[in-house]
Amino acid sequence: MITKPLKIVAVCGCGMGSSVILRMNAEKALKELQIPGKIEVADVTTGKGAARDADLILVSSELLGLFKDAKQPVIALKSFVNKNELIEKLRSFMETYEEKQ
Amino acid sequence: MRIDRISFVDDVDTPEAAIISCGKLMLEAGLIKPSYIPAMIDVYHQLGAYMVIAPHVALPHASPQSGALKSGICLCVLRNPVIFGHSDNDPVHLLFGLASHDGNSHIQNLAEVADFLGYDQNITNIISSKTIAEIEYIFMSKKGEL
Repeated sequence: MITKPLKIVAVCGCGMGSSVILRMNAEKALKELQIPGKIEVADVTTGKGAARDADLILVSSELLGLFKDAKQPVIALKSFVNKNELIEKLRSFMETYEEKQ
Repeated sequence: MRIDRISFVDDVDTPEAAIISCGKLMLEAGLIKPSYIPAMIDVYHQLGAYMVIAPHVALPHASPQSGALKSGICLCVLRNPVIFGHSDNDPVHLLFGLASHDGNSHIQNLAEVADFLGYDQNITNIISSKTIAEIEYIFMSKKGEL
């Protein structure tokens, strides 16, 4: 069981377009998977700072290169509007995350 | 869900030209100042195809400070799709140009557009539309919302 809500950072280029969509879908996905969590939006310049104390980073597969040195787990998404892709990837992330707890 | 303006474009063959076409539409709709158009292209040059958010769909945008006057979205339908360089979602047929003057007031509308794009059939239907009226009908028939 997770006792502390997850801190998740959704990153995009400007912090107002795709990351906003990502946050919305991630909120739905967390609810569906019954995972407590809080999602923040960040752009690529603030993203790395915001991600420093995050449990998870969500990013477009096209921006994954920017996070190749990140210590935190990163989920890279092909589609920002496909909820199933996000749910599947969050579910497998949670399996490893819960094992570590 | 509100789309401020819709237009078909037949004669673009690069991502930059496609973004410019979309930008002109946004300019006509009063969403942006001219400076917003090169700003959207800069975002594309700096960060690449991440703005292709779904199969065949790009969401060109720039920061509110780049010359956004209002919050809104314009749709540019490319008759000839363009390669943006995305590993999965190319080629791009649809550009939803997004502007937000305050970084906030666009969120509800963008959420509804994203929801709409979550159904692949909606994307396919818009791509195969021949007229603006057909596209408006697709938006309208979306589960009774608009």
